[in-house]
Amino acid sequence: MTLSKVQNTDTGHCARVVICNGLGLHLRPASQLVKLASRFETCEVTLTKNGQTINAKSIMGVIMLAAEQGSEILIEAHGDASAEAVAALVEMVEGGFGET
Amino acid sequence: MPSPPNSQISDLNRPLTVQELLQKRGKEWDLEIVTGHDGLDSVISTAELNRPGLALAGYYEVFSAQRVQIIGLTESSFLKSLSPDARKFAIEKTLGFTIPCVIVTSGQEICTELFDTCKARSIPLLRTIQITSPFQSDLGHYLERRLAPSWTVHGVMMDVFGMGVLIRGKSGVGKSECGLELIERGHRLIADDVVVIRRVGKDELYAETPPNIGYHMEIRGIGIIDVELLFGVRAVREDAKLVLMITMEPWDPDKEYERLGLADRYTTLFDCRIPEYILPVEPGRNIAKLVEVAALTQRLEDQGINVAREFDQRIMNAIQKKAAPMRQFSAIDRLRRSMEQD
Repeated sequence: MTLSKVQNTDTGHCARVVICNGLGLHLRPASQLVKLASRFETCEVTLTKNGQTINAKSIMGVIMLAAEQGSEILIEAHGDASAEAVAALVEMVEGGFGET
Repeated sequence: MPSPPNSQISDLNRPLTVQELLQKRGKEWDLEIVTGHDGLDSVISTAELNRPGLALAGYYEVFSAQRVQIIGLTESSFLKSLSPDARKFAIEKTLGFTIPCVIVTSGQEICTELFDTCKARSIPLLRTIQITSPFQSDLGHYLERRLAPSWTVHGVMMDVFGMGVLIRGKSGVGKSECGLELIERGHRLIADDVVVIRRVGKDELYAETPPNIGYHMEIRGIGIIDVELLFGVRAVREDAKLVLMITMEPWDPDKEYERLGLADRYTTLFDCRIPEYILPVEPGRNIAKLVEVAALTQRLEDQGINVAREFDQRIMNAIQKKAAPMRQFSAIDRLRRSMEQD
């Protein structure tokens, strides 16, 4: 599987990913994602779906997106290590959070 | 666990179609579809309404075609006064613009020319028996709320003594704990973590509980809790006008914090001016109590009473050996005065 490309933005990096696990971003994957995003303390990470942008370090925010299988999400990060943050999140989402 | 339905989330900034307007308010406002069923998915993008009288009379230089067009008694009578050919010309020309929808009010009769043109151009033609002015006012109010731009912010939104207070600060600074403490003290939760902010009019912000999340809170070490289930319906509220912002930040010994309250403290959020108090956080500091006091202080300020300034005035008067000024709004002063009179 080829991962979505991480691109440069004015203030950091971004990538578009498609949610591939069957149940979408429910509680468990959301908390996995938030845990991972929170590890990158030096940068701000946001997720955008349907024009709605939320803080990727907030469980409630990620849950609010209610991202179902097949929906597209924009991951953006700015600050130090933004490329690594985006790449790590892309890998997690496209790996299906270890679900099917 | 199935993923929650995603229909609600797009509620924020989702375009409003004529179909949705009919579903939401059709019954209440006695709206009937006369024709133009094909155009029910046309989008209403502005809260302003237009009476197309001048356009029907032949003036198109300035014509707000993108607005919902209201045909009241004036327009109907004018159309009736025209010959059938002139009427056909006026209506076709006016409806030649891209128009979201036409509403005939006061239960007016609809002329065949209007009916035919709307039908041919798939412009929804609605009719209500309601009187034009009150209907316009209701519709305008609904559209203004519905079409208000909205955003989400990270923070905790509380109703403190009836005032909408947004508590902000970095992750882990203790916002949710502060919210819990405020709930314990009898205040109400509007939203935790994700707050939906809607700007109504030019300078008013309203905060709402986000869809999907409701009154759930994430408390580190415990997990997700449901505030309504734990504390009951008195502990929650759906929305409130945002009147105060509290920013919590770790105590920085090098930073100067407000000690007097003489300076104006405001911040700008989505182009609106909102009072902001910056509260330094230290272990053992009762932030909830400070938030309560900040809210009460702001309420006094809204009533035109700035305690620091009044206090300053008293001090200056004392320095100049003058009598202390009478504070007009203070219950204690009023009591003291009435006792002196006795």
